[in-house]
Amino acid sequence: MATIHFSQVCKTFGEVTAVDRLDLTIADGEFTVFVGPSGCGKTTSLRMLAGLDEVTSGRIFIDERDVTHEQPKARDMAMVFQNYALYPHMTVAENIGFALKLRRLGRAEVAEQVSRAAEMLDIAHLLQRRPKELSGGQRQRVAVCRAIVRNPKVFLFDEPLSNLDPQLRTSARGEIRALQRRLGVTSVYVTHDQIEAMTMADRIVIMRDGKVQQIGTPVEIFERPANTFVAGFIGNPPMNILPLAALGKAAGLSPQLAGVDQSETMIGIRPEHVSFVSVSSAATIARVVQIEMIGTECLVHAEIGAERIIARVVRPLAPRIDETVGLAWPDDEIHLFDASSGRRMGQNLRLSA
Amino acid sequence: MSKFLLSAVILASSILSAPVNAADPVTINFWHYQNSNREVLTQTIKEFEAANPGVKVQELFKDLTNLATEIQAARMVGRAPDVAQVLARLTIGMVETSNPVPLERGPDKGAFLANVASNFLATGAYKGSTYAVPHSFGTPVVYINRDLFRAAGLDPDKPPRTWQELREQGLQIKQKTGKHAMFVSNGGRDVGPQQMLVNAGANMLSEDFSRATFATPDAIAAMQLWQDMAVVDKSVAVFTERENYSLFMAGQIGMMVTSIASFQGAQRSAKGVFDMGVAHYPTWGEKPRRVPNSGASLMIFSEAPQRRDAAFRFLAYMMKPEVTNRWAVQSGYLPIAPGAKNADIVRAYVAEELRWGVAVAQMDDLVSTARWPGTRVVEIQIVLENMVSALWQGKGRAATLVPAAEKEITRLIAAGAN
Amino acid sequence: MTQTLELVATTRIERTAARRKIDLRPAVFLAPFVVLVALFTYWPLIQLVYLSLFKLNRSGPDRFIGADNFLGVLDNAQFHDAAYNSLIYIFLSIPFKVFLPIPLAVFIWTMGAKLGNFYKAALFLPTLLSFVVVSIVWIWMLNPVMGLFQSVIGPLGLQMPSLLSDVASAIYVIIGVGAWKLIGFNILLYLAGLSAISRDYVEAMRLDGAGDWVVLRRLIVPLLSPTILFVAISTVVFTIQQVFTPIDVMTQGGPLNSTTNLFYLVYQYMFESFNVGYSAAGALLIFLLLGLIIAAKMIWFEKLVHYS
Repeated sequence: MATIHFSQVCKTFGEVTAVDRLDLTIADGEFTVFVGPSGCGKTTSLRMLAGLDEVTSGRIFIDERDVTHEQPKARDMAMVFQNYALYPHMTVAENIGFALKLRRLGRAEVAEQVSRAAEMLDIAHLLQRRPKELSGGQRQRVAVCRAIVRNPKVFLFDEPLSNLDPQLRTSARGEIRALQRRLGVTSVYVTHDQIEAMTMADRIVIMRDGKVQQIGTPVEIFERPANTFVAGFIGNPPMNILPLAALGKAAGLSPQLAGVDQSETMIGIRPEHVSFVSVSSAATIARVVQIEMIGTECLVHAEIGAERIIARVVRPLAPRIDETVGLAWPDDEIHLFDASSGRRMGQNLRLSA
Repeated sequence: MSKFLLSAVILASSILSAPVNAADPVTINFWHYQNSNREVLTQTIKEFEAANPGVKVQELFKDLTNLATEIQAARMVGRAPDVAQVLARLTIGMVETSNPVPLERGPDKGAFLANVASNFLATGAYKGSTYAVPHSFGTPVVYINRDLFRAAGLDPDKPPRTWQELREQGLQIKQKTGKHAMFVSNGGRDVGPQQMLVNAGANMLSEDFSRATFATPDAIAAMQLWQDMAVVDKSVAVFTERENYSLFMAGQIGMMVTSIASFQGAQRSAKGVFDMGVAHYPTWGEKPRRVPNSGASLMIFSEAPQRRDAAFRFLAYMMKPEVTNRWAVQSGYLPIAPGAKNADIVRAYVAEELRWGVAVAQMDDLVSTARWPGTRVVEIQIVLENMVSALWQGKGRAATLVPAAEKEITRLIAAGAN
Repeated sequence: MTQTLELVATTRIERTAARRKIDLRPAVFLAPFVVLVALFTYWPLIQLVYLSLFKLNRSGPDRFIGADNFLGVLDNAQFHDAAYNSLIYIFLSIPFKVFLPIPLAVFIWTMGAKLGNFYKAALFLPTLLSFVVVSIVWIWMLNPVMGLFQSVIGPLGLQMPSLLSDVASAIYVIIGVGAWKLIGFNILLYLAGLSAISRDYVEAMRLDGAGDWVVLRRLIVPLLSPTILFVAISTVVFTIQQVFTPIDVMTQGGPLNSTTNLFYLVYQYMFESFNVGYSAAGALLIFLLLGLIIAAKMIWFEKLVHYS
């Protein structure tokens, strides 16, 4: 049960600004994901929230209480580390029960709570083992179990899945989210993987070079990226972002684009929205240079002059290599960005059919 | 042809006779611990070699603490030095372990021993033979800080004559200046206490070297005086030996009781710091002064006859009065020749350096240092050292501690008898 | 049929094994080291046993005297004090030399790089100094008349006690100086051990609610235990090597036997008395004593050491 509020939080290491004016409110029970490339400030933000790093300026509130300068142990948060940080010299049971022991609970009660939490994560049979005897996936569960047994106000996750193999990752992220929903604890989750962000988050905070790029629900982020970075970061393969001028003479495109200064605008189209039409009926012509099969679909790489565009189509609709094709896309799936600042321009333009 | 034959014969005869050519110089080894006086020693050696072309002396400096042990170890493997400087108090031990040559067995049948004063020669005598001649002997004196005396209202030209006077003057120094009045150097564990006990009229050992005999009433009283000075008057400095010496040199202690052998070093250190004087070792009441020597003698260990003869020649030279007197004047050790006090060179130096003259004047008071027998000498020395420590620290009275030490030492002598 | 085949198979293997050449190279490379150790460590050890049981004789065969030398050592007037002091020295040194550096190392570990390096260098400096120099300087710092400490507290009307000349305190001065000298070195050893501990563990424990003391006791010490064992053993070894110099320089075993110890006793037997038999017996006794201490330490500690 906790709300979290970051108020103009900054973190500098000497000359380098790691986090620049993070301002965010997280509602009680919400699952917020911080995502971005390495060095973007997401982990630093998490650590400031945990109390492991000092805040340079700004304040952090938990449930209206200013915890900016409080010790980690006073904040009642549990964290799952990237490398799990299981105490190597203790058994799994001792690892899980350690925080409870510190709170001076009786041995019987500790044992009971530990076994209950272990049941929840299906690791009850591992309680007497040592961390070095466990597999990666088992260790991850123990780390999560250690966090939940404490009944904290907030869960913190620092890239907990990045050390697992891909199949395990898929199942684990579902389990984590399900667990969190069941327990209803406010959670802050850090990852560099945008799929994890999209699938798990209630809201996403995208960061780059210390600055917040956008805060929003997965749908908002996906359908209305605030700038070219967000647009290119979310989605796999990423959104095609090209200078408007490269797509062909403006006259050939929508008349509503005619008013736009072509040299100052970038256009964004998601690969899944690109389709192939006959050359004669298309405003944009491209030549296919590469085709990647990824299952039922294909990724088709095509060149428009010096620019590259990727389309994602079902296999039967894919052209052949070196073929010259025409490209088309729905009018309401176009995103326009200012070429110099990268920021989104106005609403989606709806081009008449 | 004849010339060639002649040279061939000469060549052949010289080659054939080389091993037995008596004109080849014999090289003998001389081990000593003279660090500061080494140049004087080498000078003397050069003069000896010039006067004795058949003998070469290879002098080798060895650390004092290990010298005796090295001789014994060398003897064990048949490589003993020919002549060595051995602390006088270790004479008997050396005789028992390392086979030194009795000095009456030399080419002159011990005639050169007449060049040594009889009370000095006694230190080298054991079971009827003489094994060691004095070389670097010292006698205990009292070095005084004349400035401190004056500051305490005492006349530095009238230093204490008796130990009782020393106690009184010491107390005055402590009360008037706040500084410690005296320290007694232990001289290597047991030399300090020995000097006090013997001076009070006791003998350390029985004539047959089987028992310790120093717990006489006067000796006990002497030790009690020391304790009273330390515990009651608090005028004795009882820090470590190293600290005591440095404190005296820094002008923080009034009197230093130690061998004259330290004179040259002390004189150098005191220059510019304080005005240093030298006084006689105080007597015990009206008893005459009687002080054991400190320092080392020379002994011969050679086995091969040729080398032995060469060693005797060297020793005889070293014992010549002109050599011993010059050595004494230059090194600060005591002269050892009979009547040396009246030799010109000695008189001249005494006139120049009155302080050294104090030691020379004590020559006749010299008796032999105790020479502990048996294999447990170090333990015996430690018993004496601890006895004095216990007295300084007030852990028991002399009437208890001194007889107890005597008994323990007698036991150790018996336990260490071979 | 199968049995015959098996028989043929095994004999073929045996013959091949016999024909396979033994690789001599490891032996060749190790040989010089083995020879040196045998010559300078193990051969003298065997000789030591011989010397302690026989009486050397220049002019005849050595005489077997059994336990006489050992009895002589045990009978030594200073033996009881020496043995007692040796144990005191070793056991009192341990808290200062083995345990005290742990919190100091942790403290430096949590500092930044620059400040940490300064402290590392400053604390390690005494280890590099010659023990003789260190002993002499400490004598002078402690001197109650002219020493450094006296010159500081004197103006305040206080008097420095005679620590080195007092029976009760002399040995503690020696222990203290020895500890001061070795602490820096052990801190470096602990820092090496600490560097292997991931900070994640510390952070996880802090989030679990642990304060500094709990982190030290429940995390750092258990994970550092292999280093602690190593430091304990190497400290005992170093202490033994160091136990002669300060005593020879500062107190010569006094006052009143309060600083003498078994090693100093052996030195005295050998170099001041040239009593080969006694010193060999004494050295052998020390060897056995240390062997016991280290064996006890290993047995007791092994249970507590956690190897990750």
